[in-house]
Amino acid sequence: MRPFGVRSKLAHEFTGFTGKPKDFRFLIDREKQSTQYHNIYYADDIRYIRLKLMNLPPDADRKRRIPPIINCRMSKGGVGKTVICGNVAATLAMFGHRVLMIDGDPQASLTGLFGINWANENINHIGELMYRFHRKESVYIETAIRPIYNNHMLDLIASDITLANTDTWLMGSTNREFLFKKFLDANVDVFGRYDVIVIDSAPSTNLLTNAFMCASQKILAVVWLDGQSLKAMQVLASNVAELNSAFSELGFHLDVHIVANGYHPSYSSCKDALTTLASNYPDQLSDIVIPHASSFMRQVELYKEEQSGPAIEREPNSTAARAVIDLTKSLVKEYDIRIADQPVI
Amino acid sequence: MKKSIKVSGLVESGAISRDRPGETLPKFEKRQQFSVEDDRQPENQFLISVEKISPNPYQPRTVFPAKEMEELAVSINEIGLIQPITVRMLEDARFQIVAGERRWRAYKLLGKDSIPSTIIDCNDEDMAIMAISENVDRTDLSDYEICKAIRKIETLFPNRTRLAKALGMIREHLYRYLAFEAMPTFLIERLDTNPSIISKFTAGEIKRILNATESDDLEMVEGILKDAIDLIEAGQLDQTKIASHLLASLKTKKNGGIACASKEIFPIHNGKNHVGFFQISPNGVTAKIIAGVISRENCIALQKLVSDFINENST
Ligand SMILES: Nc1ncnc2c1ncn2[C@@H]1O[C@H](COP(=O)(O)OP(=O)(O)OP(=O)(O)O)[C@@H](O)[C@H]1O
Ligand SMILES: [Mg+2]
Repeated sequence: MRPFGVRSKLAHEFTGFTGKPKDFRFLIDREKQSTQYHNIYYADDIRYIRLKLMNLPPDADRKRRIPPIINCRMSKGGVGKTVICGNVAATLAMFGHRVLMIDGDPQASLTGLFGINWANENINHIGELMYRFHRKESVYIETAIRPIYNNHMLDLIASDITLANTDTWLMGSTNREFLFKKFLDANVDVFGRYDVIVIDSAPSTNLLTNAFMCASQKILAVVWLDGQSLKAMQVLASNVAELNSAFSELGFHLDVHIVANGYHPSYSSCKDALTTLASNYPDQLSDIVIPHASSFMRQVELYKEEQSGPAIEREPNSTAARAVIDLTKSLVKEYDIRIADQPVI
Repeated sequence: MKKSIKVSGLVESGAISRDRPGETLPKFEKRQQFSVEDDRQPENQFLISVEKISPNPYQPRTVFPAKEMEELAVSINEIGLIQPITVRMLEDARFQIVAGERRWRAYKLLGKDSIPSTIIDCNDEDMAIMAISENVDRTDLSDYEICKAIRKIETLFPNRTRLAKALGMIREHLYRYLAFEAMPTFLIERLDTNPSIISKFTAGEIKRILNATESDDLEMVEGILKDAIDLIEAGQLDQTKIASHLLASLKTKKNGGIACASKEIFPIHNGKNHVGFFQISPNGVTAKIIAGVISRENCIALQKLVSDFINENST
């Protein structure tokens, strides 16, 4: 469990509270107030306040159905999928949503970003869960889910290198493209608890990345602002088009939302790449651009790995965190992410 | 407070632009469905008896090949329906399909009683648009069939600009489809039996030529067009060449010249060696002979012979 909370200024922003600052802390339980250290607000506090502001009871829940899925995708490595995935997931939790992260990459960099060293721990990854489901063996999802923030505000299904074996058995299974979706549907009691599921994918295109895409309505394509990354759009586009044409008869259609990452104002190549993106994808490109920022590079600690964490946790007042917060706000709208089924205004 | 970098802000400040031509990246096709289907609210999702549902009356597709339907039914049986079909409610508590006729047919094939459906409010205009836009991008519907479908719904819109907008096409694109209307009666009849003989581009070319033809020549051009369509159907004429074919044929016909549909080439031999050719085409006559096999005197005699022929003909 990670003890991450924000100060009242950000807490005001996250809850959308518009009243007087001194009234804000009274929205929290009396009991909690006394233990509140320097007015730190945790993800579950924010949720509590938001529900209160919506006149809903603290235990307001959602119907058990699969929530929106944000699947971070790009057919190129090192473009910032994991950075955006981890930061957006943490920020969604800090907005008061219940969030499940799935590390879908055998490199396990999302797992590492949250300070978990896969080499020392016993990890039940998503491939293992799917395999057991596929073989009709009992699946212990609950033990695979690791709490990251209190009260299931942010949970993680971690990954390790053995996730790379998934393709070998997926190859021989029928309906392999929809196996992940079927797995979610069959366990809607667990997955339906969350307001949103965030998946980090490997850069390659394989059966597992396809299975994640086939459970999504809209992938989040992360593009690094240079020519080489724009070229990778070709691979992604043909991957998307192939799935769409193969399964269109079933009513399947995958949309794409694009976020540009690594903008640096003094590199003309960034402006060039962004111009090309904005001209080609007027309706799909997110208005928020993620800057090239050193806070993102300081996220992972080599020797004190338990201190690693997304920029939003480590430097919540940085430019990087600001971009992440604004991106997350726009994604709430784009993916219709709710709190206890209530649309968020 | 710190501010985020925004695409809109950068465009405003002139740092980047939104309309750079060229440099096209691959497009991602958008979902051809109402946003309501995206909305995960279960409130408007129901299991509706397949018998209570009827197809979209504006559906341009009338043929649903049995084999394809069986394949779809098999995969629905295995994977399940990924998205409910979309219907609207009619007054007599029956439903009409807005999107998903094939899925509904597959359900009937599987002998299922009811199908997951999203009920939406939808007026005739939207119904028509849905039916067409679902099909416009499909390769198996011919341009002529799309044109007919567009004609069928045209009256629902005040003008063509609105029609084009609703179909998500630019006007130019819409007019391309509507070029079929300007085709002569015989061609319309041919299209009704074989809708894919000519594409919308070919129809556009034909229309352009017919418009530019003086009324005296119209009958002649139609005659040539008839032959040309036969040639296209027989695979002897490439339809993208229709314009030049029509113009050349008209020229030769008017000048009483060479009546021939395509190129005829006669090789010229010197003993067993190939030394040149003689070619007749709708565009004219060409003769080519390599150097060294015909004397200068013979060349001049040949040229005189040709001139005499032409003078004889014109007097
Ligand atoms: N906006 C940014 N500014 C500065 N550094 C960044 C930014 N985004 C990502 N990085 C850095 O780039 C590297 C790669 O990022 P990340 O691991 O998120 O990419 P990825 O697409 O997940 O890679 P992979 O394909 O290997 O999974 C990281 O070291 C990260 O710190
Ligand atoms: Mg990664």
